[in-house]
Amino acid sequence: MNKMSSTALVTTKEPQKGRHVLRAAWEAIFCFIADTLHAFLCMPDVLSDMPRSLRPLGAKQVLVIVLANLLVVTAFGGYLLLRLPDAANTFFACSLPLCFFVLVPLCCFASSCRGDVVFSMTVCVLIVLGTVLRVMLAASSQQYNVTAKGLLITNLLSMFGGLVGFVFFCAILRMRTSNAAALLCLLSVVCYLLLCLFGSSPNGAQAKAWLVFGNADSGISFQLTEVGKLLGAASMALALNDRDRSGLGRVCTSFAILAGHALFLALLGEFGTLLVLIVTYLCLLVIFLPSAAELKRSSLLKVIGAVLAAALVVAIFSVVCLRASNGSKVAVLKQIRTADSAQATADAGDAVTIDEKIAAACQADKQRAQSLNPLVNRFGNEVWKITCRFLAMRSNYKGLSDEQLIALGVNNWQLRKNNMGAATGGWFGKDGQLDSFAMSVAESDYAFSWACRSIGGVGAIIVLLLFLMLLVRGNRRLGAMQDRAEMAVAYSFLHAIVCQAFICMAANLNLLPAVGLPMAFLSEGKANSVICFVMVLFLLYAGRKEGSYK
Amino acid sequence: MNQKKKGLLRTPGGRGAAVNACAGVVALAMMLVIMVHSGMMPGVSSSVDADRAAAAWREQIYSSVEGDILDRNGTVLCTASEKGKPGTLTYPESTSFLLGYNSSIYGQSALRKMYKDVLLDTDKNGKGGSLNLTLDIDLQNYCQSQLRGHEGAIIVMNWKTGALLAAASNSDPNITFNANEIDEKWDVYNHGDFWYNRCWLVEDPPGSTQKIITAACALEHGEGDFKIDDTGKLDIGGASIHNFGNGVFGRTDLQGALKNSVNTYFAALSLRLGQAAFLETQEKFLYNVPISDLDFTEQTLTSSVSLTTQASLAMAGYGQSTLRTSPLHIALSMAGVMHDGEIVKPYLVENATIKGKTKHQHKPETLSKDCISKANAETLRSYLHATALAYGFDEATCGTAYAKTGTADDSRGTNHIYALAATGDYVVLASISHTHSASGLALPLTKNVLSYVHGMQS
Repeated sequence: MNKMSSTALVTTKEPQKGRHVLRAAWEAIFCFIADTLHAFLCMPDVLSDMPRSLRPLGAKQVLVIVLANLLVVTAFGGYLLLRLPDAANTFFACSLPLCFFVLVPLCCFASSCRGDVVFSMTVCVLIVLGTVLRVMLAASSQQYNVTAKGLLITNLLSMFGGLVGFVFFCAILRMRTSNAAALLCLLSVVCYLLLCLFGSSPNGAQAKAWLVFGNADSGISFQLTEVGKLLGAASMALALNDRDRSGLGRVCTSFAILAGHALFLALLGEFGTLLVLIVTYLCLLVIFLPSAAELKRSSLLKVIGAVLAAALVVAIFSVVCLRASNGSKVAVLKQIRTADSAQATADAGDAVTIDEKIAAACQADKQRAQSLNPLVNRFGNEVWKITCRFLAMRSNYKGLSDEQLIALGVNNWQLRKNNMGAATGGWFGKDGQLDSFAMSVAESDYAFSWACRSIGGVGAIIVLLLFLMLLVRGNRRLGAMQDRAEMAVAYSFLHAIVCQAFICMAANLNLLPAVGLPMAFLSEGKANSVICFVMVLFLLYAGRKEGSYK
Repeated sequence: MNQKKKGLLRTPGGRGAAVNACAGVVALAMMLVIMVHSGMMPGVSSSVDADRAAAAWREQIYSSVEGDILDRNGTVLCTASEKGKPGTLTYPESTSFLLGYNSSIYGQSALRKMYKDVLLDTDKNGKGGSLNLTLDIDLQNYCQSQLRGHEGAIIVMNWKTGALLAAASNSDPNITFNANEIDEKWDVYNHGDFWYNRCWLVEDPPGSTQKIITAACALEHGEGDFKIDDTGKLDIGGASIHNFGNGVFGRTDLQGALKNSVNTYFAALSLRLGQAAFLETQEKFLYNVPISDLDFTEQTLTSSVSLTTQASLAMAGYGQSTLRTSPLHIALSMAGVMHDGEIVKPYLVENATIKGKTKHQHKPETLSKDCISKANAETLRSYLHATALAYGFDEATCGTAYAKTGTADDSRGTNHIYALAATGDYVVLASISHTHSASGLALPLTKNVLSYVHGMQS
């Protein structure tokens, strides 16, 4: 009788519960749409509020800012006059307009909103240093050129793009935190879908991370994964600070956002951006991890267990796909590793040479790929590419020659040439023509290697310290903020900039495999430049001293 | 106080300080790495020191004009005019595999890599030394034109001196390798074993060209009169051996077996000779003997044979089983027979001229002195001459020719085919890999080249 009544209870309650969940979902979606519309309709209010947040600057303050920036430009110009007198003219032609149209407005903005002026000056020093490096590169290489007009236009456009992005984030933060995070996730998905459908890899890049408008060679390309990174970092931070959720819910939601980004970025082969997001997430976790009281230990353990299990499944799947698609090459590498060197393998009385083994393995893998499931093949090839990047970090791996490594698919010449260039830098850098080293992509992905070569180890250490200073100043200023959501986004931007710089430096120093990332402010790159300005403007605005402007 | 401290750590600001501390530690470690990596502390890292040395070498490349490479008649094969700019091949289609590329991105290969010390050893005008080859560029061009549409190699060698007059190679019938366009077409060329020179960097079974060595072994061990009644089939240890095209030749002697390329005869002959005698002759013909310090490749070339069963010995007798060799080595076998048992080390670089002085002058070297006695070599040559006549080598156009063809199958189900011939002072070998045709496809190539060489001599 009891059993019957309990069953009856369940059957009668189920439809009610389902209806309740459905209604709640509709309400959430409706609320999200209304909130989003409201945020965008409020955009004019945001724009009109902003001048009220800024205090007018006196002539004396503006003069100090101009003089400080001119001092930075003159100091670097003087350095160039001593090192490369021919390049100094180009530098002044590039940096003086940059100083008046970009650096001074940036510092004025920081001062006007009572943001951290030291932070803004550090950014200015980095921008000028980036100009110095590019001018030096243009003077040393016939393959690279820099013009004052081009540099100014790029920076002005980036600043304008940065302002638009900055206003967008200010508007977004008027939404409910959960809705703002959801909107950012939605936009990220749109970006990634656009890349999946129309993305390309110009200039032999491995990742499908660019949208190219016009001709593939002469058209305009934009690295949309940079936008994905910006949105990803902000949405993770917002999810970690969503007061409507429990502590565990916040951690789980933010982790789910990271996993979603990881999935798309892996599909696009953009592992550098993925690494930046992972490290940024870890930093955000350290800062915003809910207290022990909020996190139920048993639930937390369950979540950690689930994450580890998922990681294990991905790892096993990766190994299976790798063996299925590139098993022969893996077997050859394993054989060489077991014999401890390529020569030992050749001397082991084997009638077949290493070269032949490699050629046969490549052929076998190629043939096998034709009958393999496309998904397994694609995934296995991506894992093989990552393996190749690790192999490329070691020159002369187990006695394998460059030709043999190249035959295996390990294209390490870019890294090798840049390492070679960096090794000649010494304490204070080296002059001379660069073509002999062919330090490729020294203006973007290998900007730090170029810094080691052109301004030496001392200059490279100064670059490192400047980024460390950004982190320290930013953390100090943001820690005192009142608005939780604004603080979270600002923290995510700060850590994304600094983590990317550190990862890029580590990759250039051979501590990490090649990640193909540009360095903030030092590297050339339209998307990178725009995103950096969005982040910096927001950081300066968010780091303002509360109440002082009202 | 403690509570205040604890409270501070719970705020994001306090945790931000923890992140700062971690970043500080990472930055300190990275500073040390920067100091090593940028060469501030030489001697600490061997790889950084190697990078510095390599960079210094590249500096030298940049400040030099790459020296010229010339053929035996003084024709310029590769020349450069500007400092730091790689030289240009004058005949890229026929010399790209042999001379290699020089790229500021991908480095150097082949001869231009081996002799970079010579080519970049500059005089007072900044011009590097020149390299004088034994190559005949007209002959090389002709050989390369014969290879069009095939994967393979053609070698022309002076069997008396070992001088290589032509070494044409083609890795892909659909791709013409042009080393002058290496930077633009790297991705087109960089696949599989495209880079390997088919003249000496491939190792395949020699097919029926091995019968020359088996015949030499028989003559040296008094088995020159060995005869069999051929039924077209021979069963040994579970393996069944057939003649090409399932031919049946009846009563067959050594000369007839060479002429008709009778597999069953040579299988029976090698069994009669025994493993020890067979291997002894193979070693005299440089099997299992590493050939190193060659002046045209950095690789040590080794042709190999290992016999474990009677069946493998029988099959090795006619060029299958575990025999692995290169086209150059097959040409050397013929050179041994032509030179009365002496095999001279092949060479491509006659000398180098550095700052007006002759250096790296070639010194003749013998690889094997008595692989066959003079009398037996003479007998074998008479057999090979009869074989050449059977193949249709015309005395008027090719001179007195000696020849043997070969077809060997591989694991892919395709054939490696060879046509080996000699006339006057020269031995010619045409080899085509991964084809579904038999040796008849390579024979016209050898005939054409031999006729060209004969014309050149006369």
